[in-house]
Amino acid sequence: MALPNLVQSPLILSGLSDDNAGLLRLVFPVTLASLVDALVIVQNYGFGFPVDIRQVRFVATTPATTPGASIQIIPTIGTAPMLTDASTTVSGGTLELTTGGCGAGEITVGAHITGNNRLGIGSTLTLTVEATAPLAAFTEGAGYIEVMAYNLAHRHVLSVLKTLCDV
Amino acid sequence: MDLATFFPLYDANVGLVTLYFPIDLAAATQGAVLLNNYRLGFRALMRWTYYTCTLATTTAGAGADLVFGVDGVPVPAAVLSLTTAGCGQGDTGGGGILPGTIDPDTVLSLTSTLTGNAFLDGIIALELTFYNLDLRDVLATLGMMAQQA
Repeated sequence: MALPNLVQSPLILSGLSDDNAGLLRLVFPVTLASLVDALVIVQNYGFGFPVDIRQVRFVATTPATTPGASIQIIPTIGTAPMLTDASTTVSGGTLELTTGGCGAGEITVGAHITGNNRLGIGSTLTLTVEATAPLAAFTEGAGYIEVMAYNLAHRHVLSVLKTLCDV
Repeated sequence: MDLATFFPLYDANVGLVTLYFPIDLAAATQGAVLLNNYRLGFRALMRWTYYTCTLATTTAGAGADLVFGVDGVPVPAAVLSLTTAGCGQGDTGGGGILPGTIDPDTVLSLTSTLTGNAFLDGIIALELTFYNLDLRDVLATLGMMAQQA
């Protein structure tokens, strides 16, 4: 599993808790057959508070059997209201789904996120599909996309408390 | 204990918990129970409901209200109104807010009422976002203790 991005989300309560403090989990159910090139799965999703996107992954609940199917899901960030093509692509985070990785219950983790992953209060998240060459679309299968994100307000409060308590 | 006393800039967004429920719109028929006796298990205050359409509907003239219930009592103020126009690919939308504090033993339900044709297809991610009041109390107490130290 790819390591989470912590570079832009400093907290360090302890070695065990820092990775997960203030972590949110968004869930978007999809059918794999619907994921065609340029499809917008989620458009301008607004959190309403600052977040850092940490990881994107897919959990298959109905297996894919189409030989050689492969697509990519690209996370982008923009300022609402916006068009998809005016947004900034997150550095890393691309989720590549293949037939081999979409057996029932299997989890596919997106590429390690290295930057361009902060959403301000007015920012929005969009997830789009990009076909990979040679194009082979899925014809069956389903699951859900998970987007893991840090609630920066929550982490800031914990960080202040840590400083005040000097722990 | 008031968290805003110690963290006025961040109070609104601390201790949020979001639950996601995938809803097949074709299942949202007249009177269908989409969520039944869901027990949260902690003290909570509803912040918002929201949906994201991850598979567009193709049904013409479809419409359904998703009505939340608290301990079996429908909450008219917390209705999520879905229509064909609002369930295009990637569309998002907001809904009502459940009033009052939810106790650990409170159970939530979700039923559908048709306001147009029944949906034949489409999928949404239904989102319920709460404050975890227990967590917020802990943070507020820590803030008070740190201030007094």
